[in-house]
Amino acid sequence: MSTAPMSELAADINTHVRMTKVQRQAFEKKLYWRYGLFAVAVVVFILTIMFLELNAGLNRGIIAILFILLSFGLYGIIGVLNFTRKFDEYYVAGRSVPAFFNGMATGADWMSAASFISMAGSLWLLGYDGLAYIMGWTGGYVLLALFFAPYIRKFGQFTIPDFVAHRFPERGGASRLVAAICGIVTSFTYVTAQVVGVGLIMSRFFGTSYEVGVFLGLAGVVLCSFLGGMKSITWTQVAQYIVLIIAYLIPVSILSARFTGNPFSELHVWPGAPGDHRPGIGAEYPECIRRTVHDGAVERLLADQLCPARPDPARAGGESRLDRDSLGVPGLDLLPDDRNGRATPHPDPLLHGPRSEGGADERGLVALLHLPAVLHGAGLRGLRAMGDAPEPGRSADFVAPGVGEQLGRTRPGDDPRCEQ
Amino acid sequence: MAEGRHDVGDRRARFEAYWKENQRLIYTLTAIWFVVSFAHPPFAKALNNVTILTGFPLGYWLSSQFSITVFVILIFVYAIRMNRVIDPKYGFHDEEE
Repeated sequence: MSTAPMSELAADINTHVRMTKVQRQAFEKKLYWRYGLFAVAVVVFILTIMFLELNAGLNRGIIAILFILLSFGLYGIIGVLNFTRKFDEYYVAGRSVPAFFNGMATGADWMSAASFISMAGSLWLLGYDGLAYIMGWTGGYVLLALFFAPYIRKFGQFTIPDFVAHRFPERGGASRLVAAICGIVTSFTYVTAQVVGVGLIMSRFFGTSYEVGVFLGLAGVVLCSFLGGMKSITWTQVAQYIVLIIAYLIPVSILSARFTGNPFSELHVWPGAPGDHRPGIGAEYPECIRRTVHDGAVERLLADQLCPARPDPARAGGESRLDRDSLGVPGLDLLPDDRNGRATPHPDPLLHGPRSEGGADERGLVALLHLPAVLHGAGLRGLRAMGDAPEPGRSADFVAPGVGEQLGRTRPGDDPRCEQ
Repeated sequence: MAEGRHDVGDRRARFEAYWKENQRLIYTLTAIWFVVSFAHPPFAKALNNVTILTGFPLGYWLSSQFSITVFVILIFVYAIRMNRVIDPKYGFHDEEE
């Protein structure tokens, strides 16, 4: 970066109106209280539901509806309460969101449908190579934080094209165009993944078709974003962050407890570490990971978990979509839920996944869905390809759920992994 | 606000020193970012023969946990250093006191 346009930066610094320190501290205190109470309420709600399910036999369909209506209702309320028509508030939330809460909102973006669904599938499918996406969008965020984020604020701009045009004034029009095209390509691919995810989840919860699910989901987005712009989006996402982080931790902790006897098995970093109650338990991880790394056999491992020898007639079909215990979250389906520790069968294309001979189409789609990460990820993959090219034609059993379904490739039950 | 704001020449010099220090920090962090992103993936297969912690293959662990952790630390280092050290030092602090 040259120093020439920086005089403008100096001119723009500290021009926008801000709260005084006292006002800001009061504001933050209020925020901590509100969202703290909200987090407690979420935990209490989940525990209550759990208690009711275990003791009163609450129907799983009702649980699903309760969860989705309450969370969507809440996001809607936050959206409506933050109604604004002020320019600054609409586009940049008044530049008044404290860093901690802005971080939570960004984190909620990270954990949204694209990563919740597609990331799990990509890692499962690609093994080590799938890490390129995780490294890509986390590493890409470093570049964003070093080169863009602070200066958009300091230049007093609203969007990346605004900032780029302002930063390179001698070719303002061209640089603005390039930035806009990059922005559109990135958002378009990202939004594609998001909308597919939204459509799938909504259709599974409400038992509607995928297309109706898309519109239901987008209606929620419109409610939140059009009314209050960035202001309501940010405050909705902070609430989402709390829900999401709890929703992530629960299945991970349950899985961890099942495999290692300790819900927080990260503590097993050294023998005899706090929580390391079972001697030698750490040895179970390397075997799983070694398989992932070396021969992709984790697919077979998971197929064993997913495809039981003994079909359970009670669950084989004829029930409403809501009665399944998947709740639309792939990870939860991995939980063995009968006494033999075997997962019950799900006649569900999302779990058994599309089966294709070549796998190239699906792999291409996964890459497309993650284009935001491809720029960075492609470099990694290219470098890695020099050392160890993945063999062509490796099975693509599990792609971002729904992609295969949309392609009409799905034939549940004919997955060779299930022949036992 | 820092004193001397009306002094245009002083402000200009102050700004250039500020920008130089900012650039130095950015270049350092970007260099670390580059090494952490691109240095180990080509050798992942060889590195997997080494195990660390409770037996994680090193190549896998470097990508799945080490690099990600370093990325997050880089962001924190940049934000904290800019906010707490460099911005106030040159009077470009983003907050009213």
